[in-house]
Order: sequence, then C-alpha cells, then structure tokens
Amino acid sequence: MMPVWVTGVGLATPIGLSNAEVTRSLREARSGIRLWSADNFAKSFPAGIVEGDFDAGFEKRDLPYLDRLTKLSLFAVDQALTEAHLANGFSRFAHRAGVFVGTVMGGAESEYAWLTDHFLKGKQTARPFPMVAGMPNAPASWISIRNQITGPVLTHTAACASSGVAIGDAMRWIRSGDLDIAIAGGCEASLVPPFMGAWDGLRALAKPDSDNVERSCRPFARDRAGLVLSEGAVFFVLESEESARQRGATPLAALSGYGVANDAHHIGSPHSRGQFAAMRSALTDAGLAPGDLSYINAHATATPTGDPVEVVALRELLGEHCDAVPVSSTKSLHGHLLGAASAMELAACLFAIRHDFLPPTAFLDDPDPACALRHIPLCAVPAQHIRHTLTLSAGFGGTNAALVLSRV
Amino acid sequence: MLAQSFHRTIPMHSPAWTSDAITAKIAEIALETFGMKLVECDSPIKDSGLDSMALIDIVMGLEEHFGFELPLEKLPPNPSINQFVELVQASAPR
Repeated sequence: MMPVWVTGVGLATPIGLSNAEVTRSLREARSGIRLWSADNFAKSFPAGIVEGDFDAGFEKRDLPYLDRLTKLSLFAVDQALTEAHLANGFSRFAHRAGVFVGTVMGGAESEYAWLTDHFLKGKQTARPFPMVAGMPNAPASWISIRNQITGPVLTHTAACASSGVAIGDAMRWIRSGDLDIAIAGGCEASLVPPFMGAWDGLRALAKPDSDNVERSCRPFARDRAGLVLSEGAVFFVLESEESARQRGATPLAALSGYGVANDAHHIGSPHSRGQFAAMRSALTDAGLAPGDLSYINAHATATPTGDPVEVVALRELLGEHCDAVPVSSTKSLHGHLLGAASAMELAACLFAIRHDFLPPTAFLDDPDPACALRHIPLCAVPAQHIRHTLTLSAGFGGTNAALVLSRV
Repeated sequence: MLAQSFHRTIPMHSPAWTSDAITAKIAEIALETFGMKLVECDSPIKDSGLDSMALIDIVMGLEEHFGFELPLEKLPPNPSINQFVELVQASAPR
C-alpha cells in the first residue's frame, strides 16, 4: 500500500501557535484553558481561546471576507507549508493536490454578526460578506485560492470527528494514487454567545474550576465536570512517499491507518461499539495489532457519561494489552477543538513520536475507577521509540474516526 | 420592528448631495472597509483592486447614508466614482 507521509504541520491553538510551543505545552502540561465571557451573557465558561493577532499578513481589502475561522486556518497552513518546504506553491502538482478540511460550525462569528444586525438592528439585507465568509467551506476555499490548489477542495463535517474524517479522506485520495499531496486538518472558531448557550443547553459544559480555571477540564477523573470548548486550527501536509522523496521532503511521520464507523445509536450519546469499530478498522488498515500501539490519544472530553463509554471501547480493543498501552486525553490541556479536535490530537501523537514523550492527562489526581486504563496522569513521561500511535474522535451523530500515526 | 433601515433621509438642499460630498463618501467607505485610497474619479473603481462584492458594499454604504435604494440596473457594468455620483444624484427621491 502506498505510504502516506506527514511532511508538515501548522497550528493555531490554545496551547501554542507553533510546533515548538505546542510541544512544550504538552510536555510541561501547560493548560491553555482560560475564562470566556461576553457582553450581555450572564454566565462565563472555561474555554480554550487562541490568543494572537491574526489580521496581520492580510490586506485590509481581504479582511471583510475572512472569518476568524479562515484566518486561524491560513495562519496554521502557512506554517505547515513552510515546514514542508512548499512555500513556493503547488503549481508543480496541478490537479494532483487537494485540500481537506473538517469543521463543525463554519464561520460562526460572521453568522453571529449578521444575525445580530438582523434581529437587533432590524437589517433585512446583509452586506456582501457574511454569506461567503461564513460558509463552512470558506477555509478550504481560501487555502486553495492562496496556494493555487486545483484538485479536490473538500469540507467535511461529522461533528467532533470532522477533521479525523477529513484527514482520513485525504489519506485515501493519496493512497489510491489520485493525489500526490494534500493539505488536511481542521478548524473551529465558534466561541460566540449563542453557540456557548446551545452547548450549555446540553448540560455538558464544565463550570470554571473554583480554584484555578486552567484545571477545569479533567478527563477520566472522578470529579470530572464536563467538557471545555475551544477554538483553533491544525493542518498537516500529507504526501505520497514517492512525491516527498522526489522533492527531497523530510517525513515527520507516516499516516498508516484510518478507520471510520458509526454508532447508529443516538444523536447525542455515544456507544462503545462504533468507537471500537473505528479503532479496530484503523489498526487493520495499518496492518497492526493492538499490542503494537505505543500510545493512544483518547477522545475523552471529561463528561461524566462519555468517558466510561470510551473506556469500554478502549478496553475491548486492547484486551490483554490494556495495562500495557498508555492512554491520555490531552483535552485536559487544550480543551475540545470540535472541528479541529482530531487534527489537534493527531498533532499530539506526532510530537510524541518526534520528541520521545507521552503527553499526559493533566489534572488526573484521582482517576475514576470506571475509567481504568494505563493512564499518563499529571505529567508527560519520557518514552523512547514510540512506534505507533492512535487517536480516536467520537462525534455527535455517532461518527467515530480513528487515525494511526507511525514513526518513519 | 423589522423594517429595512433606510430611515435617514438627507434634505435635498443639504451639501451632502454635491458631487464632492458624494465622492468623499465613496472614498471614505473604500478606505474604512478595504483600506483602499480611491483617487481616480473617471477610471473604473475595479482598476484600483476592489472586486464586484466590494462595489456592492459601497452601494450599500451609500444607500444607508442617503436613505434610499440605488437602482443598480442603471449603473454601467464597471463603474467609476463619477458614475456612482451621477447615479446617486439622478435617483435621489424628490
């Protein structure tokens, strides 16, 4: 099977704006969770907010067309292309280059701004920008326009598995020989009041930790209190081994397996059978057995009901290797990036492989007995020769995506 | 209350209707929204780098400022600032 290499990664996340910053945050268990609040909104929530000036680098005349979602995406993609030595563009690939983007909400800020104008100011007609800035495929389209990528430019939405499905799809396009190279990843920038309120309606959000808001997301912990929403963008350059070799690109890792499966159970509650099936399928795709895994980055969002369901799936997958394969949820540090969640957590796997450490589940002082796994509690652990890693994402609607990333 | 917000009607004797004032308003919108300095009044605005959606935004800015809807069908396909000015003056409600 044609190997698919990762030759670049770029990030705009609550725990860093570069490969080096995110690696340091994961290694040192630095939380990116802060307090989110908004005018005319009584509640405040812990959230993973990306801090920085993302207008820089754009012409002012382009800014009205760019939702925050697109700005974060282009920021991350530029980094990935620099690392992959692709700053000179994609013309050599013609239609054999593609873009695959996962997002849940699309350009939420643009939509929110227009709805505010409509409902509060009585405007009947929007300015020309909300329509094209807010559409979910805007980030993928801008990545294509800026880099002259003329093959498939596709946007996937599968709730919290969106970027996993996007990355998996890109991998399949390359493996099939239809593409040489792809930019693949995910983005989310939906920390706007109506969206926070809608999530609050599910009674799924953690309250700010009373001692330290940075500790608000505690997956697998006995006192876990719910998920913490985040924003961000994480993109990879995926490439056939042949293409990378031809242009002298360095492989950072190999994307070796992808599995997707649905729970077919409930619109808003997970079932372990779909999660197990996705992970099993990804391992089969990679030609691996569960015992071959050096690390699993779990979906674990820190909801009281969700985490134990995933533990059932993980234990079923790992079987006799359950006490041997380390598992963590780095959401404790960066929160839940929704449409960028799979990509964020694949990046955690990548940095684990590249820098020889196992990222922790921060704040796991007291693991829930119902979540018994070989945890990596509190602090990162040095680990040589991490060979194969797996990350799982489980979305509302039951879509589960698993990716296997391996050392080259 | 969901009526379209064309509520501000500028009296016809106001200096806001002069060519210079309308030109200045167009330049102000282009500068504030797109960071573009429009200086050529006779050349197509698109030559300065603004696209068709930006032109729509300028139209909407003028409509909001003057308080009436501009008959875009009377605007040439690739208008200059002067043609915008003429359209505003010719179609102002009397």
